[in-house]
Amino acid sequence: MNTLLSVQGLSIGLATRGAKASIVDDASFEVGQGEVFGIVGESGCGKSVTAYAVAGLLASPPLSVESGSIMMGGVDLLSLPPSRMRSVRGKDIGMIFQEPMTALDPLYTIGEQIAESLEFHAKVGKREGIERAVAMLGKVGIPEPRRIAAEYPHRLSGGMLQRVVIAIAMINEPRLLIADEPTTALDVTIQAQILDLMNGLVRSNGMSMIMITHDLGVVAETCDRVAVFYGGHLVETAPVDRIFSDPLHPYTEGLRKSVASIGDRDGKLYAIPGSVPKAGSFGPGCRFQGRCARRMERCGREAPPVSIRPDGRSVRCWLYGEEA
Amino acid sequence: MKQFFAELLRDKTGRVGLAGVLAVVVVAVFAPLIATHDPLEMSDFLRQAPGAGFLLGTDEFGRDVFSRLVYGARVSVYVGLVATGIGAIGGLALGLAAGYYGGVVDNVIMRLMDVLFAFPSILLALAIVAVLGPDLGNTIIAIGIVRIPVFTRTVRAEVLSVKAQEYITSVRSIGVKDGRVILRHVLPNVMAPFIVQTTLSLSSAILVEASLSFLGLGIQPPNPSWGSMLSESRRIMELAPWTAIAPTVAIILAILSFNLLGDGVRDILDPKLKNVE
Repeated sequence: MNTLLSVQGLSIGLATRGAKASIVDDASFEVGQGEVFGIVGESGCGKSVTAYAVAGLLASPPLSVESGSIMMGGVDLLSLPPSRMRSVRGKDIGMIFQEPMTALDPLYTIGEQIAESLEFHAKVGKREGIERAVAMLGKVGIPEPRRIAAEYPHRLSGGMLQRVVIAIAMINEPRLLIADEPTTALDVTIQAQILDLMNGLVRSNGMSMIMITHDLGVVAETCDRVAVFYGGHLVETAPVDRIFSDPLHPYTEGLRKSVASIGDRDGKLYAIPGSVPKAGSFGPGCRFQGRCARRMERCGREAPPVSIRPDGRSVRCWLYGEEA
Repeated sequence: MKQFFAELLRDKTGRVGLAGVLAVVVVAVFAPLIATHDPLEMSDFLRQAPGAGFLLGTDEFGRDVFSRLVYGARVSVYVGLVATGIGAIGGLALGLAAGYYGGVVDNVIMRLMDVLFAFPSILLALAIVAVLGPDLGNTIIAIGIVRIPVFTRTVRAEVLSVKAQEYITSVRSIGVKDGRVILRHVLPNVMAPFIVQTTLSLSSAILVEASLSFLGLGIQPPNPSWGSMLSESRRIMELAPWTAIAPTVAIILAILSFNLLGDGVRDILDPKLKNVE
């Protein structure tokens, strides 16, 4: 599989009063052409920030990329001037957001908002833009697209709005789609529909997608490969079936065990003990050590390196450190 | 727009305010038709009490108080509109820049505004007029500058909340330029509080003009302004109280109308006050 996006050694810092906290530290991963790549982790683990960095949308200040590279199709996105990056956004990279209710400007019609992206990148006129927006609305499964295109966002439900957001992200047929918790704000049945829709569109157009989520169910349904983030460290990447069948990192294992299953009628739901330390408050050694069931003496002293396993998976843990 | 006026008229406060403001504006626009005398003409009847010949009496130079009041409305409306316009446009631009770009831009602009804010507005206007010299144009500029910080703060606060909305990130994510994001997506979404602020600001601009004219730094004699009429009436207040009462009532009614209109507009445009009685 050809690599579309390659992120190497990405570190992102948050400038606070006088101090600099590390939000993402030395994250490396690759997304292949046509691949759906999941990024999983708890709130504040750096997963969204990583994706925003790829799109060049970090809120800067206070956030900034400290080091690393983000290569897409042979171009280092981090070195692009803002004007070039703007033409990448929307054209090569599309984004889908968490809250469809607030992701659309309340003062413009649905059609106008879809067409705005077209006008910008495809240089089409307003009339043609609206026509293509209507066609796109049909593709994302909106009934009566012509009527809906003339409506304002507050007239539509959350599920419908998320379809509109998907239409905006896809109208220029980007090579990479970044979906930031696209189903978190939706109820479960709509979630499944939206995931199906995204999967179908991405697969049929041969696009790649980064799916950011904290929901392992979403991961299982959509992704080919998964990266697990913990406290700003990318702790493990693996094909999706391996994450569930054979997790390497103790955190991944904990995550997998804490998913409720419909078969478990008795017993308690497993939870990883403790909670995530605040960003920037990590001491020396492994960031997961305080909550790890398999902590060793060495974990408190030195941060584990990333080791690449023979099957191509990567893991950041001393359990595997020596074998690499 | 139609719906806006329909709602404004349904609201009692808005209705009264709008009527008052329209009355002042009509008087100002049609002053030559409404005035019964030349406002500058000195008749032989000094300090004449209100009556048939002179509706609101005459002042110490025998000028018709009613006619001077009518022409004074012109000054008030003109100053109110233009000065508020200067303040509003200046504040809008600065507030948008400060709120959207944040960081150093925000700091520089807002600290400057804090400095302007620290002066009482009359004092600041006085200082500016003293530097520029007393005449109508300079008065307007001074009042406009004094109004800028209020607008800047209102707009900036609103921009900050709009900027945090996902739709701004969303339009940026499709590669739209900053300038276009500000003009097409941020600006329209901050208009509501801005318009309310503008309406409310008209009354304070009129009040500041009256105060400056009262102090002799606004409209220069013999041209009439409500503030200068009040000032001139001080010497003869006991002999001819109508010369003081007429401009006072005019100022009060005008300010009240503009404030009521402002409240009415706010009731309609502020979503936080919707459906609250």
